[in-house]
Formats: sequence, C-alpha cells, structure tokens
Amino acid sequence: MAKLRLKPLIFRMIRAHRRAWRRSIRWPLLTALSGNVLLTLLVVGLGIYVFVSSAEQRSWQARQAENAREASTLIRSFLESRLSQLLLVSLPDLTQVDSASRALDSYIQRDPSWLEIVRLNGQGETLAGGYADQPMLQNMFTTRQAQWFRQAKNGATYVGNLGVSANDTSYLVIAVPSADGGVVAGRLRMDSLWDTVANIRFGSTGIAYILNDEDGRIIAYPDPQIVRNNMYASDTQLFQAIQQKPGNEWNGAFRSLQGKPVQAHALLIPNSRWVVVTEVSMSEVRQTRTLALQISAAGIALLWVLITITINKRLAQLVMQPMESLREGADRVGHGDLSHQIPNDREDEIGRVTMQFNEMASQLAEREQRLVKARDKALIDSQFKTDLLARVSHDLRQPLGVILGFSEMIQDGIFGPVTDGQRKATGDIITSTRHLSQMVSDLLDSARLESHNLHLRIDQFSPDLLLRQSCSQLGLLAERKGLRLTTELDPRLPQTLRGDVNRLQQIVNNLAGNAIKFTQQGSIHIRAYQVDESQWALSVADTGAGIPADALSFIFEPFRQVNDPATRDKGGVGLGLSIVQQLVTLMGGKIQVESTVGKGSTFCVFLPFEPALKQGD
Amino acid sequence: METKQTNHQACIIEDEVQLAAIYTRALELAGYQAEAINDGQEAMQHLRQVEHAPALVILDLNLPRLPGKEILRYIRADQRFAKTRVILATSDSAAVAGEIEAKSDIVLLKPIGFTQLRELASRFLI
Repeated sequence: MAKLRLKPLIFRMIRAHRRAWRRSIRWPLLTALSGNVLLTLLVVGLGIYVFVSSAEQRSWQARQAENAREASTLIRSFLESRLSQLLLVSLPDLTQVDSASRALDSYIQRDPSWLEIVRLNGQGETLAGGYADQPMLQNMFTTRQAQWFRQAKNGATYVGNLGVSANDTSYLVIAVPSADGGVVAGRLRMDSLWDTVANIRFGSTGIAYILNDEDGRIIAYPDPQIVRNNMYASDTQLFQAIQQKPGNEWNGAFRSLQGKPVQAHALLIPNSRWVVVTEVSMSEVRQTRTLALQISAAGIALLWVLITITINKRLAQLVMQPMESLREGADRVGHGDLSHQIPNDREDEIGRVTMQFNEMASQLAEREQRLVKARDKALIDSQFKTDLLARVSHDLRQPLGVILGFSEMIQDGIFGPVTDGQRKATGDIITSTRHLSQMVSDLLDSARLESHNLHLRIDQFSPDLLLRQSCSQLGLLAERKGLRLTTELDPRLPQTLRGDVNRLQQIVNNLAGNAIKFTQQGSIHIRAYQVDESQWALSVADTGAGIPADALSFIFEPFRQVNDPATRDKGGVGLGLSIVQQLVTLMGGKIQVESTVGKGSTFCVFLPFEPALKQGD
Repeated sequence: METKQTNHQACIIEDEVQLAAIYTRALELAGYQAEAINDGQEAMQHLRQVEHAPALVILDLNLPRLPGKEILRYIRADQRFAKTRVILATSDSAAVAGEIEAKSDIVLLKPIGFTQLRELASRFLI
C-alpha cells in the first residue's frame, strides 16, 4: 500500500514544486544563487581534498622511506661492525694462536650475535675457533670447497646467504682475508636483527620486512610464521617491480602478501641482496583524506545550508517582503484605499518602484477626489433637475387642473346650455389636457428614474384588482375605437402578490394604452400568469400594426418612436416604453417583446414573486 | 344644475382659487356644503375652531405658510375628525408615501377632473 501511494506522492511534490517555482521568483533566484554557492563550495572542497591527499601521500612516503633507510642503516652498520671485528681477529700473528682462541671465545660470549668465529690458515686448517652452539665452519674437508673460504682467501670480503641451523636459528656467514693469507670467518645469528627490523612500526598499520631480491624469499617479517614457512614474495607486484625497474629504491601502491591494498616503499641495502620493504595499509594512507573528505562534505553541506538560509532571508528582506507589501498595497489601492502609502526608505530599484507606486496611488486618490467632486456636482445637478421638473410639473398641473375643471363644468352645462359644437370642442380640450398632464407625469418619472430618485412602494396587492382597474380605466378608450379589451387571470397565481401596485398599474396602462393607440381593429388582451416558482408575468397582446424588427432594438430608448407615418401622429413624447422598462428593471424583472408586422405585438413583463428591495423604502 | 340641500360639511383646502372654486362646485353638486380655504395656517385655525367636523376634506399638499401634511396629521390625531374622509390632491404622485398615504382615504393626482371629484364625493355619501 505504502509503495502504491509513494509514486503519486512524489508526483504531487514535483507538481507542487513546479507550481511554487512558477508562482514565486524566490525559487528560481534561490536555486540559482545557492546552486552557484554549492558549486563554489564543491570546487573549494575538491581543492582541499586534493591538497590534503597529496600532502598525506607525500608524508606517508617520507615516513616509509625514513623507516626503510633506518632499517637499512641498522643492517649495514651491524654487518660492518661484525666485519670490523673479524678484521681485528685477523691481526694477531700465529704465534699467539692459543691466546687468540681465548679471545674468540670472549668475543662470542660478549656479543650474542656471534654463533661462531674461526681463523683458518691458507689451507683451511683451523688455527683458532670458538662457537656458541656447534662448530660448522671448522670441517677441513668442506671448508676448502666453501664459497666463503675461497672468496676470502682470494682477498675479498664475503657476505653470504642466510642459512638456518638445526635449531631453527637463522644465520649468516661472513668472511674476511687475514694478513697471513688465511681467512677469518664468522657465523652471525640474524634473528635478533631481523626481529629488530620486523618490530619496526609506524602509524597503526605500518610495518617493515626484508626480502631477498634474487628469489623473493621473505627474510624477516612481523609474523615469524611467514619466515619460518619459507614464504616467497616472488609473485607479488612489488617484487616484479623490483625485478623490472633498475635502481635501489621503489615505491607505489601494491598488494600486501595477504592481498590487501598497501602503499609500499622498498630499499635495497647496499652491498647485499636484501631489500627492506616498509608498507602501510592504503586505508591508513587515505585516512586523513577520507576524514578530510567527510569533514569538508559535512562542512560544505552545513555552510551551504547556512548560506542558502542567509540568501533566502536576504531575498525575503530585499525582494520578497517589498514585493509582498507592493502586492498588498496594490490590493488595498485596488479595493479603493487610495490613501494607502507603502512605507519606503530605499533608493534602489524596488525603492523606486515603491515610490512610483505611492505616487500613482496619490495621483489616483487625487483623480478620484476630482471625480467624486464631479459626481457629487452631477448628482446635485441631477437632483436639481429633478426638483426643477417637480416644481415645473406642479406649476403646470395647477393651470391644467383649472382648464380641465372648467372644461368639464362647461360640458356638464353648469354655465348654461351647451351646443353640440361646444360639447365637441370642450371634449377635445379635456382630452388634450389629460394628454398634456400624462406627458408631464412621464417627464417627471423619467427624470426621477434617471437620477435614481424614484422609489418603489412595496405592499400586498391583488392581481385581480390590478387587471380590473386597468380594464375600467382603459375600457372606454378601447370601446371608442371599437376594440375588444379582455383580461385573463391565471388561477394558479396567488390571491395577493407583493409589489408597487401603482407602478404596476402604470406599466399595464402604459402598455395597454400603447396597444389601443396602435391597433385599428381587433382586440387587446391583458393577462397575468405564473411563469415558474419564482416569477410571474403580465402580458399585453394586441392585433395592431406590429413593430418592425429593426425598431425592436430601440423602442425602449427614451424619446424614440417608430418612424412610421401611420403612427407618428399618435401623440406622446416617446417616454412610455422607456419608463416601463426602467420600472421593470427597478422591480428586478425584465421585459420582452414579440412582434409581427401586420399581425400584432405582445409585451411580456416578467417579475419576481419577491420584488427587488434595493430601491424600495 | 341645482345645488342639493344638505347637512354634509366639506372643507376644501387649496391655495389655487380657481381650482378651489371648481372643487367647491363639484362637491356642492355631489351634495355637500362646501367651504374653501386658500391658506394652510388659516385652514388649521378653521379646523381647530370648527363645531361640526366636516365629512370630507379635500387637501392640497402644497400650501402656503403650512404644509398640507401637517394639517393631515392634525386631522388624524384629533378624535373629532374620526369620521372625516380626506382626499389628498397632489401634483406629484411620488411625493405621497408612507404615512401620508396611510392617513388619507384617497390620493388624487392633479389635474383632478370635475366629474371625477363629483362622482367620488357623491359615492362617499352613500
């Protein structure tokens, strides 16, 4: 399960990272900067590592060479001192042989490295001799054939090969010519010398050993078993290097007898066939550089993290925070707080941007102030216009009332009998007066709607009564034109609805009045019905002239009428539909019109059951 | 047309003298004893001192010296006028709202027709 979830988790993390990368410049910047830092640190770390490892290697080489030289010097001086002793033995003349034998014994007793010393004459006969374990150089028959005897007799110093006595003691035969033509020879116990060399230690794994450069036999080794078992280093890389490369000093990385990687230094002891080898395990040679590598890796990691954190902090301080306060400032200014100024004490690029931003905000504030002033002035102007219109309308209505009143009184015969001509004339006066009065009302409504000064009075009303009122108010008008005016109430509609009944009446009367005006024959049908759960509708359908399609787009604009000679003289200032539409909008509804030229038009007003209250009081 | 003899008092408060005359004639024809007052303050004084509360008051909202709605408030606050019907005559339908509308019986938008007022007033008498 855990495995199954791991993959989407990683993908999510990658996606989140990509998003973060795209959403903030912090990540690209931080990555570039800390990447460069990491690269620099790695280069420095590599330099340190190379320096440390080369210094370490040199130091180990020097120590190994020094130890090898020491061992070599030890062996050489050991041999030289023993050879000198033999030369001393050769000095006494033959007349003092007896005392010479005693001297030899005392030599052997004093120096435990001597196993045997003999002085022989030219024929190989023992003149004097002493030994610590057993006589091996005093057999007359074998001596004369021995290499050491022949070489010393010929006047050369002899340093022989190693031999091993019956009791496992490693020995060396050395011989020098004596002054009387004979030979002085000795057998040297080498064990202690070899032990001395084999006991050389340096570092924690550094050892020294000796091998024979002819056959690779191990002469001395820290582990005595190896010597005892007559092991050979002849197939080791070191031995091959010694064999192949001329000279008397070798060093490099090889494998030890046990097959472990070592750094070895080999030195040929002068005048011998012995090679002193000092070797130290590669892991120790590399110990310091490994430690250096670990320390520098940890240091680099720590330093990198610290520097990255510092960069991040500085980035936040120098870039992210100013950006954030700019963003916040823009947000506040964007939401209308134009007085907001971002604190700024910087003179760099961000400081300049901030300064510019603050300046922009103040300019905006200034401009807004001017706009607010202009708007207030416009509002006052608009209010003034509405008030003026209200006063004008009041002043117009007073004389209209007088005209209407007296005309009706004349028509009623209050001032005396009326002729038919007079009756008709007063009738026209009355109609025109009503018309004029309606225009005054429309103008005032229009002005109020435009300046948002018209408030709805929401209350309960009966849609049935609404339709009947319209019918009674417009019935006579329709009848005069010979039109049928019918109403229809959807039984699904509630008995009472909520809304501004006077304004709804105004809407219906306006639409129906228009319908009567533009219909020559047929009928006008007013209908109130439920549309769905949230809205109801009032529709006025006529069988009139219809509205051309191109006119449908502007019939709701104020002062616009269909430019048709047949309808141009129908009166009105063209405000009716504009007022209707604005009222419907104010009520939170909408108006639709469908029309076919020659067949008639249907105006539909859709209204919410719960009227808009934004303008209601 | 003859004026009907009646005990029904009507008070017309309208600053436009000619309109007041038309209203007076209409109410008289409807069967009222009509009295016209052309000034707000004067109307208030008249109503305070009147012995018989009028059955009908035609009240213009726009009056000199004292606004019509003060008179309306006075009428509605005084128990003597509990049976008095008030027809508000206004030249601005939008100016009539809330309290004023609630306190009046009918609001008529000017111009008020002679015939319309006469018919309305006579219906109140039934």
